[in-house]
Amino acid sequence: MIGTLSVCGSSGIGLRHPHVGEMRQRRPLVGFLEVHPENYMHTGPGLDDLEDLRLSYPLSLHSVGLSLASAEGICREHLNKFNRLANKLQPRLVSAHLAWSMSEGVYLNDLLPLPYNTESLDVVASNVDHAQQVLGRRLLIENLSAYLALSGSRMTEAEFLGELVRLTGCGLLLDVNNVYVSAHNLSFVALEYFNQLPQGAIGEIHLAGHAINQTPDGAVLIDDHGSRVPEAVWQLYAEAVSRFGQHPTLIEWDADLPALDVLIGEARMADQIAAASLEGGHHACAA
Amino acid sequence: MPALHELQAAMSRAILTGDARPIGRHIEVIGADPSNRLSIYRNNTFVSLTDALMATFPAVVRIVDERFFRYMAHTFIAARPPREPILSNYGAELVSFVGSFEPCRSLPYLSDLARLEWAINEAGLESIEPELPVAALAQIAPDVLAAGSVRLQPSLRLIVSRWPVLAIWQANQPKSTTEQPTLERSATRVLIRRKGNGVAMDLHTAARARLLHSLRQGAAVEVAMMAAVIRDPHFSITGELLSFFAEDLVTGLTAAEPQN
Repeated sequence: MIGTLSVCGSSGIGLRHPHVGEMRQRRPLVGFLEVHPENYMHTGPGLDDLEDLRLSYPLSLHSVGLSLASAEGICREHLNKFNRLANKLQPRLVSAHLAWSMSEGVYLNDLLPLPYNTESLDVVASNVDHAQQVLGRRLLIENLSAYLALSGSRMTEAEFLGELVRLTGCGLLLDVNNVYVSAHNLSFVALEYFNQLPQGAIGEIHLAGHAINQTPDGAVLIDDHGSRVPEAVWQLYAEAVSRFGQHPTLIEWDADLPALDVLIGEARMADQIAAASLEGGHHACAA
Repeated sequence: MPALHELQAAMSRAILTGDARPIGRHIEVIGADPSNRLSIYRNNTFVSLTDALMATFPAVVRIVDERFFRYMAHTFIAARPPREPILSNYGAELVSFVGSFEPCRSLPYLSDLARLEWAINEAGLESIEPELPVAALAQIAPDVLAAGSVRLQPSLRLIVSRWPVLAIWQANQPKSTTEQPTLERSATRVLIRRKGNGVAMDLHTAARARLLHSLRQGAAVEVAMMAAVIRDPHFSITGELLSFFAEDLVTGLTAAEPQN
């Protein structure tokens, strides 16, 4: 089945450049590797490394530049490059964000929020349709971490994602840390967000650490992928697994990258927490 | 309520300029100042793009120091933001920006150094094509070769500078023990190409650089030879061509189309 991994109960890690040599040498046991396609769209040595590693690990391509919520549409050339890369690497999972990064031809290199209403739903659904057609694959769409909300919303983000799944047949990448961060920053309840997500659409889960910035307006959580998964996010992960079943789970770590074994340790922790959560319920392995 | 494309354009401009006023009334955050929250996105954009530029131009960073580079990068990003999501393609315009950035006026070689680092970045992202064995020369009649063209490794880049730009680059590597060279004008031609997982760089004579440049542009071999010989009457064409093969630079020979 497209959009799932055959590996069950073995979490993956985001592959970052400083770990590539060690990964190729040691080939440690991890469920899968995820990379940003934007870092592999040239023919340089990075792609050779990835072609080698994909012999040992299932791959997931996680786009940070597709800009699916751009009102001006998605960049055709970028989508074509993404497609060529996917055809070459044959990833098991392909994902992108419910966010925009491009406007008037400028790329801001950040994942920006959108209002949730029928206009934006039309825009995102049309872009997701287009991307899925070109890629010939089901996309998993990730909920973003937000620091502000835009006026004009007529539904919640979770309801919006449900509509998007219904309209396009896409799947969801549930980033548990992002739910936690946004819930804090935008004053909503994370479990209510879970309640509103469509059943059966989740194909992958992301976990990461976040920073806490003290500001005159109070604490703001920053999704910096720069530390271990905090306890509160592990708890939310256990809750997500008990509700939605076990799915390929990824540890994301970008800033202050630790030793590879720390990342692998976090992935094992995700396996243990998912297993413990499932013992309490009756969910089957999603793969 | 603005249309989505208007909202996105306004937010994009607010992020680049730092002026949150046009977008402020469309931001809803309970108990927080909208401009403070918008500045988180602005910070993400500028910091991540500055980091990408610092990774591409490390020797420039070392010369001007990180604090100054961050200040310069901030001005550059606001004026010339990326136009596509592949960050390794971002920064080509920094070369000319450095050249015209007033505070860098006392470092006249800086723009050429940036050009060298951009060429290193580009070369490192290219593939290495299978080299053509020198025996291929024997299969092609000399007059056909003269009118034909030579295909070279796609990673090949050539930098010509009035400054000792390669020596400056070498002196500003993280573990460098060489001293900053005397900054006297001296014509320098650096050939850059990908080698293994890195790049290799060599200095070249004017004639050799001219020959490679012409061939890279797709000029006929005899035309490229003339351009080189004009710069050095003693230039050994055969010797140079053979050395290109020995250095695995040649990936193809194309015979000229027969003329009617």
